[in-house]
Amino acid sequence: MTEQSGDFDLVNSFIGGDESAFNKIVLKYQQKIYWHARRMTGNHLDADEIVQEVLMVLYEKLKDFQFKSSLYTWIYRITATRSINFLRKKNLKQYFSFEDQEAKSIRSSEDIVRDIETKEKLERREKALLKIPAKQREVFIMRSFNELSYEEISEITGKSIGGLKANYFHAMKKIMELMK
Amino acid sequence: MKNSDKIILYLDGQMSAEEKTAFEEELNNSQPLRDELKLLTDFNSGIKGMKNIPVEEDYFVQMVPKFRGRAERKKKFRLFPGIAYSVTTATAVFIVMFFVMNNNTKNDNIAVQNNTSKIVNIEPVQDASALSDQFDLVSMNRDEAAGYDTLLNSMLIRELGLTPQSLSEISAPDNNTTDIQTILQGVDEKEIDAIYKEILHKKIL
Repeated sequence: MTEQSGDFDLVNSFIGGDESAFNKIVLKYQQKIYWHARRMTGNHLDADEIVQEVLMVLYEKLKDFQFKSSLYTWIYRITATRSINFLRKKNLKQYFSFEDQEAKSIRSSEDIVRDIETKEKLERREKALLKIPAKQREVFIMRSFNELSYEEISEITGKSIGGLKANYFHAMKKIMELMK
Repeated sequence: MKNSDKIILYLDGQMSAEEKTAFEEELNNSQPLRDELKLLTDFNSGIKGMKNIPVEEDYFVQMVPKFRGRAERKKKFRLFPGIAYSVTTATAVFIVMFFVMNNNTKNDNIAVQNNTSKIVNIEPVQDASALSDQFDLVSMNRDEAAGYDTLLNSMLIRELGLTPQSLSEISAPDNNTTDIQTILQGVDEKEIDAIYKEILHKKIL
């Protein structure tokens, strides 16, 4: 059974009323959803919020899914869109917010990464990533972390391959400057 | 083209075969270019190493139950706007009705007050028939009778839908006087009393 037909069966089972099929879909893609959101936001709590939003959208829209693309592409598209929207909202909130930095650092101490050495490494890279504009970061994450081709990224984001290459190029340049 | 630009294009596979050969040749002859390339390849290796970060597995185990809980709460919350809308509408309707009713009652009271003051300014009495007994038309002097005469005329105009002119034609066909005695001439005393009683009952009760 191919991955595509497995997804097809799961979606059809869910549409037919089998709630456990939804659980299986989530179990299959939850790591990909989480880590994209985590790399986009740079912390666990925001990533978790995006994950829950994505699952809610999946649950509500899955019955309308018509397999015009793969389920993975569709889920990734929802995750990418939700992540960008979340960052926009967060930036807006921060702009008008009087929230103190101490409160933020207490909240960011909640993490699912427990190993201190790994956590430090992760935080260093997350900080570097956060210095790249969100659109460039998105392409960088898809390309470098998930090793997606430009064609796949184009299908997910709906952008031209030329534009994506340019975004990736600028993201890499920025990272090289930060590393110097 | 800068070294960093070439490195990015090279690592991303965006170079043509000729560009790639030329870059690799340059790389063999340039230490700074090799250093810069190493920096980026190390970074990329670091990224690949971050793919399988050990995390609390419990988080992923709890992801679906957490979602189910939130979805359940959201479903309950969806009912709330419906209930809130119904309650608000009912309250608004009740308030509007209350004010409308209250306003009508006030208008009725004002109308009654106005009508009463127009009819006669008297002390309230328990029994309207006792009020009619106070009027001894026969023993009234002329001025008193004229006062009541005017009152009677206005009541007759209103009750019978007459104009002042048609009333004067009925009451005084031969001259323009509205003398009460002229009107009462030939009418039985009991009959007069009954008419008064009827009119007073209509207006007061």
